[in-house]
Amino acid sequence: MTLFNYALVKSENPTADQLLKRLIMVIQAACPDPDVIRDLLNGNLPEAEQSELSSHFDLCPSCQQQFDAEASGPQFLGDVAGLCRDTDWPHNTPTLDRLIRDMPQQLSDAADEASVATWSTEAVSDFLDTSENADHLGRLGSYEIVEVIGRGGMGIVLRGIDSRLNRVVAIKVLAPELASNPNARRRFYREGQAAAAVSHDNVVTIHAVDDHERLPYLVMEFVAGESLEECIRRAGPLPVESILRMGRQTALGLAAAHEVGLVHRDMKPANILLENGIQRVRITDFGLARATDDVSMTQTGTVTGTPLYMSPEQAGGEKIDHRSDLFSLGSVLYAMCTGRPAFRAQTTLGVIKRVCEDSPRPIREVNPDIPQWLVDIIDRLMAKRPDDRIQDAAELAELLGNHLAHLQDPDNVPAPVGVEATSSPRLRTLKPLLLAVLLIGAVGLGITEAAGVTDVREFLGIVLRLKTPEGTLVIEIEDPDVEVSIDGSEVVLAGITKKELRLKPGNYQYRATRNGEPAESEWVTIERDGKTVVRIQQVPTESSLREGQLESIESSGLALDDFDNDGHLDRIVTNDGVTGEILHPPTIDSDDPVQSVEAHNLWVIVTLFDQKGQLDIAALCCREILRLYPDSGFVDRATEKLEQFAKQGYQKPNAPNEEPPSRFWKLVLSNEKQGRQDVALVLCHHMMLTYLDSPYQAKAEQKYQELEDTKKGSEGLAELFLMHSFAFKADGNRKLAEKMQKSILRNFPKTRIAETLRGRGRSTSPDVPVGPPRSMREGGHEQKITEEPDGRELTSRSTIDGISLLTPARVRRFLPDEVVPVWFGKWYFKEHSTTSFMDQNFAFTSLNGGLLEFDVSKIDGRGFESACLAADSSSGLGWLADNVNSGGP
Amino acid sequence: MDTVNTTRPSLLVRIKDLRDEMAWGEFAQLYTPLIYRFARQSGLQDADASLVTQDVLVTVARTIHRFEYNRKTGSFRGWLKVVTRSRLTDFLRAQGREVQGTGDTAMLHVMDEQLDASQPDLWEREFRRTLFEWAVDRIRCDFEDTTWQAFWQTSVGDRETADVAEELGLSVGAVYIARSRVLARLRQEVLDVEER
Repeated sequence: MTLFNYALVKSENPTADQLLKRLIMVIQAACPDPDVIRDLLNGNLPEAEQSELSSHFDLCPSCQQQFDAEASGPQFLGDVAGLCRDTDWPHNTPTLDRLIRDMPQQLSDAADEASVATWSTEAVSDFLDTSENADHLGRLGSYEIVEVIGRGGMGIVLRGIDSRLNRVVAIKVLAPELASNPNARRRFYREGQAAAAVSHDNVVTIHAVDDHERLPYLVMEFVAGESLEECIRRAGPLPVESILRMGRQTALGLAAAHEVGLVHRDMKPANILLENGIQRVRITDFGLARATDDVSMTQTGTVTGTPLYMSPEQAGGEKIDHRSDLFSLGSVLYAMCTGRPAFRAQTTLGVIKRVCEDSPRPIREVNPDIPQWLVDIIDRLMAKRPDDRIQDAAELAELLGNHLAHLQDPDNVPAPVGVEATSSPRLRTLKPLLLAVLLIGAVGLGITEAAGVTDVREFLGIVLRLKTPEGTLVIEIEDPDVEVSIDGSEVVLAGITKKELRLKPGNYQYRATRNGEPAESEWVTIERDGKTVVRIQQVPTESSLREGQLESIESSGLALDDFDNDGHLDRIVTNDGVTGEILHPPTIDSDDPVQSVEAHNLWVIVTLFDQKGQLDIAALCCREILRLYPDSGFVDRATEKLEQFAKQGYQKPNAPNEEPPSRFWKLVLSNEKQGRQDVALVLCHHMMLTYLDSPYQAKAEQKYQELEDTKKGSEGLAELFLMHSFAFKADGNRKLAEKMQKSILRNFPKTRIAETLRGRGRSTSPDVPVGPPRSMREGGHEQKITEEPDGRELTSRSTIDGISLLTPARVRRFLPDEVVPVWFGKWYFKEHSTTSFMDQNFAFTSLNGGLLEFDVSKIDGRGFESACLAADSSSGLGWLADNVNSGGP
Repeated sequence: MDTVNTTRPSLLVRIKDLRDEMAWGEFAQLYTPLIYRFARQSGLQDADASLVTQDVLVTVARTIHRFEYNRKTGSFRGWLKVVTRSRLTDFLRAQGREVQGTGDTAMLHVMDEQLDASQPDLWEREFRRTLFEWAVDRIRCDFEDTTWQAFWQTSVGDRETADVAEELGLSVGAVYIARSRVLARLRQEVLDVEER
């Protein structure tokens, strides 16, 4: 609009004619520059021009439109006006109003405590209020805190003085990172309430459950003395009288807990405290005790106790009742008699397996001083079937009490009637090792003998394979520096050799030493006519496992391994020989496979990095498990791991910025590059919350957002899901198998695996793959194997009708290992056993010079699918793709 | 492009002064509804949404002292979103498990779907809406009722300008000018927040 126009419009006393003329002129007048309207909207147009513009608006629909468009453009209202008209929008509710009113105070309080961020000793005293006594760490409520007496995954234990009552107390404070999680907080409170409900001389009293600066804590009676564990470690087997006295008191304490419906769930010597001076035992740490009727918190299918003293039903992830505590108490009594746990093995798996399947070594073989009647009592407590046990703790207490009375005064007190031992405790297997719960693998590499991190790394690459156990122990050593002994005897083998030993059925422990240093050790079971193979391979040199190679987990480079030859997949072996534990899929809470698999995935990462010696990353992933999956059943493992790391000297850095962020950043990048978006994501998240003052924070955040999007393309996770899917299927759980596959499509739609499952676009509703194409099943197909030997490594390509089955990389990893077909067969066809593997003419019919032979014409659908997938869980997808939609057999 | 400089110090700068309860008040005014509604939109019940909201805000309050506002990435909102998502996921997961105990898997699906595909969108949308409402609250009393109605009826009420003009006894042009004043002020208010 020009000044000329304005002048016209504004001239006074217009005649009708003039008015019309002006109107026409105004309408026809050049509209103002679009910038003028923008200036108006931005509040930058002078008053005078506004009124002129107003007149123009009166008459100019096109300028009105421009205004409307600008006003509803992204610079101004955008879609917000429309959003406000949406009646579904939750407008202010009373709750929200209250929140808005209450939050400022709460936030201000929270910010005040903000300095309590990490949980170091310094942070502990920071967290506490200042004490008037300079010798004390500080104050917590009305408690003067004297010292830190324990630290664990759940939090810390402090020794304090209740200043009002002037008594010493133990205070367990929940770790801040857990306290920020409502579930963990709830659980902690519940733990406190559960324990507080038990009032008994032999149970540590809970005085109070409270919180300070939003960290909940339990105030307990302080028991000065040592734990039974320390006592046994110090003194070895205990005198019968002590065993009876402590056993009776423990049973009384348990009886009190059972009476109010509590199962301790974690009875072990470390939880039995021996009070100084007086002969009284106190049961503590109902950390895992939950009211049995508290369904919401109880997870079936997960193990929450210490395996050494766990009952078979608990180890099997089954429903437990108070009789589980009785088994554990039996195990504790066993340890008191013999000075060692009943079921020992080098691996957690080994322990669980023995708990479920074995009888412990007879007590009197170890300690002849123990009377037979006590052995009988313990045997009955340790019956595999709960029904065969002494049925309640009070009964046990009475029994032990009677024996004690007789022992102390044999002349006046008659000997109680003996208990019957269970008919056949030996190998009365509860169930064929319910693998639901098995924690397998990495720890089985003899790590227990290696104290430090470097040592662990040194032993990487020892691969142990146990073939079908049938009476012969076969030991193969592929490393000239290794010597092996059996059951602590003299060296039976040394150097590169293979030897078959005929052994009586039973459990044997073999120990391998490398250049005199312990290398690995494991229990093996020899059964009649069975054959057990132990193979000790050469250890890769330290240099081949250097940084860079260790920096990432290569998703495509994962080999799978049935470690204990029980037919279930136990671990992942990466290209550089590092192993990660895999829990057999039924571990997965069938209600929530997605969460479990994600937690599981993190767990695999923990074990991998643990083996690599990168404890900080491993610990980080442990903490992520605690944070993200507090109910996943991996919490206890993660907690245990964190404790283990602490013992190995790893400390969570107090000031996070002490750790160079560049290192994490490097890891983020390398993991991302390797397709491990999940790991990269965890690392980014950590960086974002840790390096807030560093330029890396912004980088990490940006990357996080990016990864959030590309997570959908995480091959690594998708692969894990797929593996589980097939494992479920192999276990006959088709529904879960399908669910897992659908999860892949939903969560990782951009992956190669998802693409394959979608049948390369041929179908949008994929089903679980059901076997080879009909044409193939009808036989007459051409199979071709081309090989290019290259030293020990063999590059081989197998094709069936031109479809690649095994990629060269896969073959290279698998081939040097003749155990491959056994693995395949056992793993995927366990349900149908190795025999049916042959009967049904599955894919693998023989092993020929390290090469797999396929007899395609005889392939049964179900087996073939599994076999091919087992052969190559990711790269065999090319084949799978062509068969996904081809229909079932 | 905006040259208006506010004299009000950035809220973030102020809330880092830990004792400034006024600043927390302002902060809560804006972000409490955002997180609460986001949680509601993600399928949470009233009480649960309230829990999650407190959880998120307290987390923010506890860590804000380490948060260095980065002007280039405007990362406060990004950070807040991450925190919210993470807390919400925790909650939904826990919830999903419990609900599932009774055999109902609906919650899991809610979690999967809501937190996955549609979430970035949902968060932004909720932010715009809440920010708008917050800004409206703050500036409403600065305007004459007629001016306000001219803006509100036409912009949010979605009514024809001519009808509104007639009702308010204004010319169409005057309605436009009134709208522009409110919009300019709104924008200033919002930019103040958005810039953080």
